[in-house]
Amino acid sequence: MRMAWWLFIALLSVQIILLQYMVEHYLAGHHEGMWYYVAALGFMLVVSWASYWWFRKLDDIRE
Amino acid sequence: MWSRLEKYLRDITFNIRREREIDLNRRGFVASSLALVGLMFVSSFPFAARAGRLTEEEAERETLRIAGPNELGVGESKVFAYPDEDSPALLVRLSEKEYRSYNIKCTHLQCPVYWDRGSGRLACPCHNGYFSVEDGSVLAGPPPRALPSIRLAFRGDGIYAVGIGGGVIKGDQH
Repeated sequence: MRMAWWLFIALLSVQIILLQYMVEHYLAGHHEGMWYYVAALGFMLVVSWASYWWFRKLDDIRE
Repeated sequence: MWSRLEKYLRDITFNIRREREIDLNRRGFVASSLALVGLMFVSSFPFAARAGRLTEEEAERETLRIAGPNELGVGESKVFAYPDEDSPALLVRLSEKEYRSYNIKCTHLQCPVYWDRGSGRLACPCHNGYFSVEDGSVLAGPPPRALPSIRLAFRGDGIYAVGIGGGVIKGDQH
């Protein structure tokens, strides 16, 4: 879980940066690219969930 | 009474086994991070939905007839206002079939940009800013951003402004 901890800090950072970019684009009136950001955020969620699942499985095996 | 309260507080504060504390804390952090990642994903929906609605509204915006089919000669330009009276814009005919149109408020300090036919660029007279007529990008001077382009449509009776675009919009007459 120690490695997962670092990985999740990285994933969270990416998610925060994506969300910030999305808000900036929205406020600048560039409405056409919003769904790309939603897709990117969704992709990060899938990656996070897969990592979480994998680390939990690893942990269970160790125990 | 006091001891029970103290016991309760102790229970909720130290609700994990001491020897597993660090491990469980990490696991808790990872689980909360996953929830936070999910929350951020869900929080992006309202922005996307609202942006989608605004894009639709923009598409439904009134169109404006700028010029007749052959009103402008090659290399000539025409000033008009779109989408409202306070937004001056310019239509330039580059070749027989190519047109470009931009909002001409300079992105530096809002001076009106004009079509400099000699140099083939859009020029801002206030602080010598130059924009490319091909895509509205900044060529020289202090302007920080490209000029917003205007979407064109070619119909039987002339050229129409139909919206404001974010990127390069080539007005090619078919």
